[in-house]
Amino acid sequence: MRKISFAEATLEAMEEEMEKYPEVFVMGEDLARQGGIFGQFKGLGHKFPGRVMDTPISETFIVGGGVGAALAGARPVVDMHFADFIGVCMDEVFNQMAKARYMFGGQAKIPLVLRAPDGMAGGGAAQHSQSVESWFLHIPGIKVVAPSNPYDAKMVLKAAIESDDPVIYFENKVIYKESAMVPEKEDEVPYEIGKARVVREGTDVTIVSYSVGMKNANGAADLLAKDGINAEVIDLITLSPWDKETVINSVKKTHRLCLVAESVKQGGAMAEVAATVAEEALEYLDAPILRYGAPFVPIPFAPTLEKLYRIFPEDLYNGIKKVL
Amino acid sequence: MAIEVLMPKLGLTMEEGTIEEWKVKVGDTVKKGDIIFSVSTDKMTNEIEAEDDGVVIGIVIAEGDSAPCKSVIAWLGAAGEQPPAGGVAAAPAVAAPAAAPVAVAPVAAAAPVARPAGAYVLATPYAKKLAKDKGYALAAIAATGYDGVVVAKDVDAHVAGPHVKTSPVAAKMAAELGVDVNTIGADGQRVMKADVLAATAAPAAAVAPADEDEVIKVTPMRRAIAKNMENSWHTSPRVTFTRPFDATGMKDLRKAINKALEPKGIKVSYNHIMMKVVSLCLRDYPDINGSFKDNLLTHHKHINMGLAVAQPSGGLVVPNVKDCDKKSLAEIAVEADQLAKDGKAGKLGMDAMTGGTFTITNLGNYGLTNFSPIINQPELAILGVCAMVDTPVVRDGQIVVRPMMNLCLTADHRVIDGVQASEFLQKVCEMLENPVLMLA
Repeated sequence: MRKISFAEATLEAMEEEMEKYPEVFVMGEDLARQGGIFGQFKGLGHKFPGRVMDTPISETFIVGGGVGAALAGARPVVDMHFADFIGVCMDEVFNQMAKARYMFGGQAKIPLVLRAPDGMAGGGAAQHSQSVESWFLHIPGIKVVAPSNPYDAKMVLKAAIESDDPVIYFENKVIYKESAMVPEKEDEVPYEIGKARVVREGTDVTIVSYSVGMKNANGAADLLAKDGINAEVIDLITLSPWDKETVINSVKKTHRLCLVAESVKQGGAMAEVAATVAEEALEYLDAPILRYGAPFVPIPFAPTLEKLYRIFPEDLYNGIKKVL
Repeated sequence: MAIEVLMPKLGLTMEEGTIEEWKVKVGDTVKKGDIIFSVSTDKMTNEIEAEDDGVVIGIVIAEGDSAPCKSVIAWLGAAGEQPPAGGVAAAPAVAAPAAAPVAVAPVAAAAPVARPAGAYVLATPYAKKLAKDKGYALAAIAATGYDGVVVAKDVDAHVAGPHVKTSPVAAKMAAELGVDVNTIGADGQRVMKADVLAATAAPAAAVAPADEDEVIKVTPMRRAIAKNMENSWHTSPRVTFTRPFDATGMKDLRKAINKALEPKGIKVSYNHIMMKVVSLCLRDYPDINGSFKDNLLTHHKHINMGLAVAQPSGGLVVPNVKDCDKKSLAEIAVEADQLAKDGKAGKLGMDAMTGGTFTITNLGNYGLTNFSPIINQPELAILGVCAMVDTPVVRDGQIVVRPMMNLCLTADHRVIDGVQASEFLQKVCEMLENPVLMLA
């Protein structure tokens, strides 16, 4: 274990997987020459000549070509540059990538990873800041993951590449630069897609989040701890299929649930969690479910407005204190 | 090894039963087949036999209390044996008389909470579950949660209040009816179902104890009748059609047939003739021999004729004669008389009580010439039979005296229109006036 950044952790995962599987290759915009817009592919093209390909600006081709290659036996990793651009290739994503295995009666598989950097990085404005993960929770046939830290960045990406089903890997732009302890190859514990992690045990309230939202979850838990309130914090890591059992078991213990994500609150991933807990564990709730997310407006460019748009740990802290 | 005595399930629709009487007490030895208690349901009262030999070591459900089917109501075992821990609260019979009633002083913290009667109590789902599990009425729990909502810790705090032992049925009932078990029943005594009922039934009496009105806890049968009648009243838009007929032919028939049946000891009554005639006429009116639910009309294949039987205790049962149209008058007489006898004695089986498709109710004995019976759901019509009255009528231009009788048909207008009801009633009257038509 040593301390490396989220971006470096993803790069390490790529290198290890490309060494292990000759059928893994990468394509997208500005990857080989530039090393990725956030440096997350730095040097990969030199290390694996011919296996990191720069494409024209055509998301339709990037995903469509990836699906074709996957059908032909490759294990492609394709990059969206910004998650915001995924709308261009939506048919390739939800009608081809997600459906091929089913439509071919299981005779084909799509071991493809679609990497999608998302989130507000400061001044990205309405078209380069979005978190769009919830769109894909409604599509059977796609696995959706969104790690929140360098450790998971590596282990989840490796699991995604080794998955025989298509995985969309949302990586948050703000977390890219953050460093934490990440295991080297010999110390790795494989991640199982679909599993959440209780990152902090508590008894008074369950706070659930994923990706950059975990900053709010952990931040609120720290604030609550000062008041002697023990929050249990769960990192979902996988959003589809998500780990219902871990969340419900926690709610049965704490009787309160607080959900937070950076994306738009309406129709977000947390709406599904809230609904499921209400369906399956209503009588364990001793407070209304609290849910925090972005307001239903496009992300503003002006830094003051962007700040207004954001959720902070204090928001969760105040809400939880009110219902305790 | 203690053996459970369970609340029997005496019919498909039976969900709970009420112990009318324990024929044994704790310490009694019973043999398999001995009658150990009687149980009443919405429909009847039955005596229940022991299924095992043993000594009664515990009674869980007291007389007058109800319990769900297949739940433990008592324990059998060896002499001196104790029922399983938690399996039974001290049987009321053994409440130690030596112990002075424990005066349970209300604890200040659990002072009744001022809420308007019947107000919806805001409580979290978890608090509701806890309160229900513990048998507390939400209305009695002081709310300290956010926005004045009752939360789990309020329910937990409530435990600190006077902790009264409560029978499981009373606890369930109290939770459903919103009664605080801590505020009812005798001090220090186990709260029973009757206490909960008294608390809900007589709020006025509690306010004005000088009031001399008597408030009575009704029997399960009366509850069932009340429920059924209320349901019928709200279900069926009904019209009552009244029509007279000349009972001369029916009288003659009865006289002749009884003379013939005398050696067999069978007596045919007007009710029996009514049952036969109405059953035969129903063959041509499937809409009337039917039931209606969710916009689906069921035409019953069998004509099972119900006869309302009043019980001496004030109850009312409606056993029915199956396939009445296919039976002879003698068969109907024998069967209906037996059903009426069993009905009066409260001994009817489930089979006799269910499956009816039409009902006849006769109040003629009381001199009525008109009344409006309520339909026995889910049937679609009921025939009320009035008194036979010698009446001057015109026959062939002459005034003559004839025994006239009114029939009152109450029909559900959702299915049965006026013309159909009147036509059916006309057919019945015609056949009663010319009983020979029964052979047609």
